Amino acid sequence: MSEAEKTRPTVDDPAVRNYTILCLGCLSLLLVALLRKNAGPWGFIPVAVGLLGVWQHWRLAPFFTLITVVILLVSYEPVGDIARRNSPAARTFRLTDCILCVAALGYVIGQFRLQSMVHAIVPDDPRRRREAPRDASADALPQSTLNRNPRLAQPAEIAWVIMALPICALFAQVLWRLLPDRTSWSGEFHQNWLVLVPGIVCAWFLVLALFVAQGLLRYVGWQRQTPREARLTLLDTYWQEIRRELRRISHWLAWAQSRRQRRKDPS
Amino acid sequence: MLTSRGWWFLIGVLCLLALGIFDERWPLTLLALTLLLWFLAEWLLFVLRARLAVPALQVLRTVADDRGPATNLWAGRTFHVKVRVTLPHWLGLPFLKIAEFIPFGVVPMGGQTKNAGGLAMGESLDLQYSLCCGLAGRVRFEGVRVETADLQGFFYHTGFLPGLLALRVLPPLADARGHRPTVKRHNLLPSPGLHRHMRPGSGSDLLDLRDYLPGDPPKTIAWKISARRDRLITKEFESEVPLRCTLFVDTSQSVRLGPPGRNALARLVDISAAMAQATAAARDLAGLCLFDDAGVLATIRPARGSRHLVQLLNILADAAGMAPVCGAARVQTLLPLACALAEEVHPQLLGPEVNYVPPWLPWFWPIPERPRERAAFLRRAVGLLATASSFVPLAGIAGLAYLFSDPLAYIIVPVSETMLFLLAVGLLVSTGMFYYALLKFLRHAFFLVFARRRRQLARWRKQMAALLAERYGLGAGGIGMLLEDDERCVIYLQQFLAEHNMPFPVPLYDRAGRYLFASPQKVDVLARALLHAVGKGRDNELFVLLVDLLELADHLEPLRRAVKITLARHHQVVIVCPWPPGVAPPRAHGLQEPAPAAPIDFQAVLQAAATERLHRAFYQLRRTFARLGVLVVCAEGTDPVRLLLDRLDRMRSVGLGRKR
Repeated sequence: MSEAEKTRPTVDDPAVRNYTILCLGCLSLLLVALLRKNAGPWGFIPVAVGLLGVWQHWRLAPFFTLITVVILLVSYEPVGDIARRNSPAARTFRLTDCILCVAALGYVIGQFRLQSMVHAIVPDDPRRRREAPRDASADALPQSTLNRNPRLAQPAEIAWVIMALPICALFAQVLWRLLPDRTSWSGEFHQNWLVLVPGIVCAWFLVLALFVAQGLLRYVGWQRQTPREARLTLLDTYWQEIRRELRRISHWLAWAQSRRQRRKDPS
Repeated sequence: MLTSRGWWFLIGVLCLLALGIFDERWPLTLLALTLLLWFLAEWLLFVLRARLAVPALQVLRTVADDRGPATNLWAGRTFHVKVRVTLPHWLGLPFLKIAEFIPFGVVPMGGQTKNAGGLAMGESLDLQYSLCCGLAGRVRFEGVRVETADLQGFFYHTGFLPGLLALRVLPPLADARGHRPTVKRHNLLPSPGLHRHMRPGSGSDLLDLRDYLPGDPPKTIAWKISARRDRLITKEFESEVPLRCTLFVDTSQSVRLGPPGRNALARLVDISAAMAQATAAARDLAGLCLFDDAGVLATIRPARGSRHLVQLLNILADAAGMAPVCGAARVQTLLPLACALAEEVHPQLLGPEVNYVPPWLPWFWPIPERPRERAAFLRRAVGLLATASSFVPLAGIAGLAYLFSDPLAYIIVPVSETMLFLLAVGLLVSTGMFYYALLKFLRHAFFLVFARRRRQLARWRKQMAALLAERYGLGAGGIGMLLEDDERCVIYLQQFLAEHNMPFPVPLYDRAGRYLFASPQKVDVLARALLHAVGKGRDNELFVLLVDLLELADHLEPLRRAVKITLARHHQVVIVCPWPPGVAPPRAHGLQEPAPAAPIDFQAVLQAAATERLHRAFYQLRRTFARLGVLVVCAEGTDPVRLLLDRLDRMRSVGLGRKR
């Protein structure tokens, strides 16, 4: 077993300490945001779940934290007039929402990265998993269950994460403004169908972008093929073009060979 | 590419987004969009890394021993392997795990065969370990298996970095002194590498006396005898000629059976290598002839010297890795093995971008159809008629009902009775054919629904056919050939597995119960090679035939004739017969008494019967050649190398012995 597999993360490791601090900071921000949304003492529940996850390296902690936040948001979001909520004024930038998004995202990233230092970051090979005995102990697990060595973490990782948090939140705000209203699929569709146009245009652009990106990636893949891969690609394409004729010819050739062999050796 | 953690996260975020949009919970929508955007950005970054950075990884491997880098390995010795994986790409890899693909037949002796870490541009990960090759042959270091993941564990990618390094594993270094005879036979032996030949020469032992001829050196004149006879008499001395030993090594299919390195061929190679080293240490000349049932593979004339010895060992090492090839094996047995190996070492050649398997292939492709025989064709025709006729009542009633259900058409277009009859018949036939085709398809497809293994085999076969066609230069026609022709597919699959030193099962008997690996043609090949060597030989030589003749008692006549000619030319012949591993070697004094009755154990009974059959074959072989005065030795029971060296020593001292 290599050195990387022997190591277990401790708080003394800088990477573990940094991500723990990130999680705690984001939980604090989350608490502030929930309190500003009038969640009251219930706002401590997601924070408690998150703290438990950080302490115990609990795999399901991010999911349960998000679920409790969602429940609180559904319960404590002021339900006003739908018409008022759908008005353009309701879609203005709100700092509390932005803080909530940043905090939740930061916590999720930090918690998952902590988990990758404790639990396996790469899944087991399914073939080896099938071969493993059912009652195998933890020591008998395949070698591929490998966690990330915290001592090998780059110091710049945390900086990139902190920089990515507000960027993602801001882009989400932009996308949110482009989303169609409920009237798009409500009864007044025949009157307000024009509201769908930006969404349709966005969808088309998205599909087009995906199509172009896939084409570009495929082209880059072809460019970077090794000579063997390129030869095999050409061979396979050629076979697909002539496979019917080939099949017929090869089938009769095999038949002729078999017949010749039978004649040579009748038994 | 997505792990289960990634899938759960994506599904959860999408549900959250749907809830936020449809229920107009804008904070929820914002939260979901933030998470989703970050997830997609990470995904895109990971795809770029997997497609651009991972293929750019470079592998550098060095194999060294205590003295420095090694170009050949030696069986039984320890070597150190150092692998360095370097990333020359700017994208970097936050987490990379590398694992060495340990070649078959190699025993790791410690060190690090796996490592993990993050790589920025120009950085590298190292592996260092020691290995020991127990067996002669070839070792292929295929490359390094790589796994990369993002830091959250949402995405992962596995691949293989090819870095092929093929090295010979030479047979173990034999201790020549250890093989010397322990009993000192004579006080006066010629120099090592020589033996006395009964021809006039420049040796030191007196051969004969003759009258002086003008030109004879004066120092050879026997003065006392000349004085007695009153004429000049000259002494003639024996010639001292090199001692030659030629090894004929059988590499036919019969000795290749068994796992590489533990079959009869490996034992023959061990004996040959020990003999070559022992003769080289004694300054004798050693030659080699490799043959199989198709012909002579390699011939090296007797010579001496370190370069010659290395050449012999290289050829023997190449021969030791040979694997049996048998077209009668089953594709279904070999395909999973070959495909598992290909997935391990050539995953980039099995991807859908380069090796596409059409989804319809396993369903519409009964592969390969059995070659049609006459009886099968008749059966098929009868089946076709029966199937068509089974639809006659139903289709006929339907057709006629259709025709008569539309009186308007009947009135507008007057139809004669003949035309009506022809229409009905045509309708019946076409309906029957349609139903037959449908039934045929359903018959295949219905069983394929439950035959997951068969569908899997069809996919594997297409992938392996394309890979093999590319590897062996068969072209696009090769793919079609390998898909249809079982025998050729089996041969190429075996070749592919053998090149990677991977053992595979082969059937020993055909459907008629005949042994497939007897290889009787090799007797003729060996006889011709022996006569050729005798024709080229100048002095008395020792010919060692390392050949498996146990199953060929009825085909030995050409070899007996060749051995007779060899003996008539005053050469010596010894036959070393390889012995199957796991079978008790024959005793020196004939057949063993049958064991007392024991409780019936089918396996033990079979084992005993096989052992007895082999013993009988060996004793018969020994009797056959004992009439000619040729020694037949079992490769397992005694130490054949010591015995052969004894024979060489006897040849060296034959002149002295005869004088006495």
